[in-house]
Amino acid sequence: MTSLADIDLDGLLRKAEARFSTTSDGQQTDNKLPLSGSLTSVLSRSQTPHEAPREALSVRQIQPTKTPNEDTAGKNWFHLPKADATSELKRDWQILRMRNVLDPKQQRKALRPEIPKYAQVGEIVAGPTDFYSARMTRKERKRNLLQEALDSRDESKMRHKYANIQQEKTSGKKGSYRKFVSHRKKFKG
Amino acid sequence: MPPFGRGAPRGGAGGRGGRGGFGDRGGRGGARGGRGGFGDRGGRGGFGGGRGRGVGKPMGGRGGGRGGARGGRGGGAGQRGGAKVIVEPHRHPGVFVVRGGKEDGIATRNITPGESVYGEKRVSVDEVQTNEDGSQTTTKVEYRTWNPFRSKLCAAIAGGADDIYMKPGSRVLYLGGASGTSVSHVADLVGPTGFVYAVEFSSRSGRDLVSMASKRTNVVPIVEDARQPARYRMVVPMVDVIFADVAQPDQARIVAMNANWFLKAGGGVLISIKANCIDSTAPAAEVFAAEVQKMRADGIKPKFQLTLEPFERDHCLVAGIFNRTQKSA
Repeated sequence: MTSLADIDLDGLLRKAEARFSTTSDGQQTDNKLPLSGSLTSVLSRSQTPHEAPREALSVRQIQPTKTPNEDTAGKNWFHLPKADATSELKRDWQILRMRNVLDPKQQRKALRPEIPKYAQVGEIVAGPTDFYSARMTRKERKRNLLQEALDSRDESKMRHKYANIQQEKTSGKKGSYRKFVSHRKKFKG
Repeated sequence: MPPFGRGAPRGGAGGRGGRGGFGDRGGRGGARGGRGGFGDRGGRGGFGGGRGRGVGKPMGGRGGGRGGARGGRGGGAGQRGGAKVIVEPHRHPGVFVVRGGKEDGIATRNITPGESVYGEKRVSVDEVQTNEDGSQTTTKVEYRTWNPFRSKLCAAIAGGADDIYMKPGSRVLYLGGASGTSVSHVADLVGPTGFVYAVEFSSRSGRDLVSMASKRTNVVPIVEDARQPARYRMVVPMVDVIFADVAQPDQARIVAMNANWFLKAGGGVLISIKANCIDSTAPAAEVFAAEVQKMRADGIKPKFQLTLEPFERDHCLVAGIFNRTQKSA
């Protein structure tokens, strides 16, 4: 409160001083004109408590609100970093999404199509007391999920399925008839 | 490998005759072990053939270790060592989902990298950071897979709990800490800034708990009776969450007492209720309803109830919010 009043008082005094100087000389000379005794005494009194130069009053600049750092999942997930969308990771995610096809015996929830925003690719570490069946051999270990899926895929089932379907579909059709005819010709000749 | 290492046949679900089946934790030991006791965590399963009947403890299951070390299970989230997985955040803070292989699993970030507590599988990740001068630093980050068949809290998370009230930095009072397998995961969850106060009465399990806590600075093991919170009042400050897995008939009273002593107003309460331990004659649903009523009378406002069905039999998890102003004497 007091400081505000001081500032106002100061400003008024300075204005008055300017007015004095213009009226007396007809031209403005800042602070160089000898002032009347009473005014100088007032000015000096008001300025003694504030030795430092006064800062200009200004409007507070509104700081832009800090956007949360989106490079990590935040402290709730121990700053799990953002997944870098490499083609390798995308393919791995694709393989994960198609697990139901690779292994139809197991049923799982469908995964969303896009890769997770925050993710890491890791490797399972078996415990030192685990049985040997709980760890992969060095040959079985692969660089990514895609390679693992390609390597461990059991093709026999697919092959059987395909063969069965083909047998069903082609019986009695043109192909099977031709085969039949060719067999007949073979017997004649 | 079957989901969550459900490898060994789990004694017929219905047949109480043979190996313990659902009721006990010891019986999951696989084909080699005898049957565990009928108490909650009665006998130890999964040892060599000779060790038959785990004798039921008089305390109704507080005694005894938690099953065999990891007798005969497939292990982890059905993954073999060396398999690649993708780790992503779970809906609940501090919890992660491990995707890959045959089955997705739940994991927590290991605060003691390089060590597993009860033989669980770990996931190792190399975190590469680029420094200012362009060089790269590699830090190893580890996650431990959390087996919902061994932990009721994990079973609740896997079963879709709305809220677990705990997050990194929370202080958790864990009643019925047993050998500290679940406690270690809660310790991971709350991280180095949080605290877990694990109360376990049985000195035998308490020994395992203490040895686990010796490697984790954020676990305070308390080998005391949860019925007498005054005995450990000097150790436990105000906590954010109480998790109770004591399997005692007066469980609701134990939790209410501890909440009155230590839980902050508006703090979360998670109680795992085993119907058999409260009243073995009444139907499970009635037992749960009666327990919820008791909680309500003690100033805990129930929020949700969740069956732990595929993982535990006749168990449910009740979550509530503690309201100190409604406290009854």
